[in-house]
Amino acid sequence: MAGTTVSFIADPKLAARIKEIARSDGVTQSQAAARASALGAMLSPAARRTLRFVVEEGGEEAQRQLEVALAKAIAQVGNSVLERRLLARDRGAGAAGDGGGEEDDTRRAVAAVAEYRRAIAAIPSEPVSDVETASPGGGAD
Amino acid sequence: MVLRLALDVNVWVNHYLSLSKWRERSAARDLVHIAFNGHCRLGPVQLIISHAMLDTLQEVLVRLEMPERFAEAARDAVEASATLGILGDAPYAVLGGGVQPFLDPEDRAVFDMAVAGGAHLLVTNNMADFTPGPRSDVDAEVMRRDPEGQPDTLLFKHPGSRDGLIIGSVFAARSWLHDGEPPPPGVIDQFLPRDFRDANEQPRRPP
Repeated sequence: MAGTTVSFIADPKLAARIKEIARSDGVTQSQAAARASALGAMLSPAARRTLRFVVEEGGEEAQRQLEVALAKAIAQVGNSVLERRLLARDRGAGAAGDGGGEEDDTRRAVAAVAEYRRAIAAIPSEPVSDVETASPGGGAD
Repeated sequence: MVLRLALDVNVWVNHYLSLSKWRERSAARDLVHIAFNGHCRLGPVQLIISHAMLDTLQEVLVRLEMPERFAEAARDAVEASATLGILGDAPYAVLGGGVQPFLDPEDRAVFDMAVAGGAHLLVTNNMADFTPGPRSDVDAEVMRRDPEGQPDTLLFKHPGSRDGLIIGSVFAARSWLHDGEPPPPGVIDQFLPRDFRDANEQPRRPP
């Protein structure tokens, strides 16, 4: 990843969490730390000070409240970014606007899901007897 | 009291599909926004969804030629919204189930998820698959029909819920949750303001 190297001393709990995020997201610890700090860096000075206060004084309950509020806000903004991108993409490409009313969209949505189900159902499943299973002593039989 | 709302996969797909047709207003979009905002005209809302539905959503969007990055973003946003909704309900993985007689196994899975998640309202674009008839033998009562005579509101009573599970079309659900229109008597009554409830309890004149 292009960028400038920044080192800092982190609280052991935070460092452990960064390690965990790096593992689950499949990125380096440095990338995980950079992404996480991007959110804090967006905040105004007053909001940063309040955040610091919450982290230092709020305890787990306050941090949980903050987590819920942030996740909800991110989900909402994520959806609105996606909506804007979809509208812009299709206008730009000159595609998709094939007329029809709202009822046509509902029918097409139902048909698309049904078609996907049929495609999944058509995939042959492996017979259970051919699936390797772990033996009690470890490893596969 | 929090309204536990389940949106069938076809409602989510409908929302993103409408956008790709430049339709900035749709019933599906209004309901999706209610799920993301965590509140509607009747009060707070908790989204109920399953991992299987999230997988289906992502795959169907890709099949509809949405770039994979966008399909994944849609899935992540919906999952984040449910995981840390007002009640912090994580997406469900339903074990067992399959008791209710539906022709389509996916409808059964959606229905089982709604029951297991304690949903008050399940919204779908596919009322025909839930209405007692050739595609479903579920013991649901038709509470209302739309102007074309098709059921748009069903009530399924089960021991896990005092008020039962309401299954509604997107247009019916939008009218109650977004537009503030009163639902038929006996439908999500517990969420209605007192004056609405009182009006619903008045004896109705025969048609």
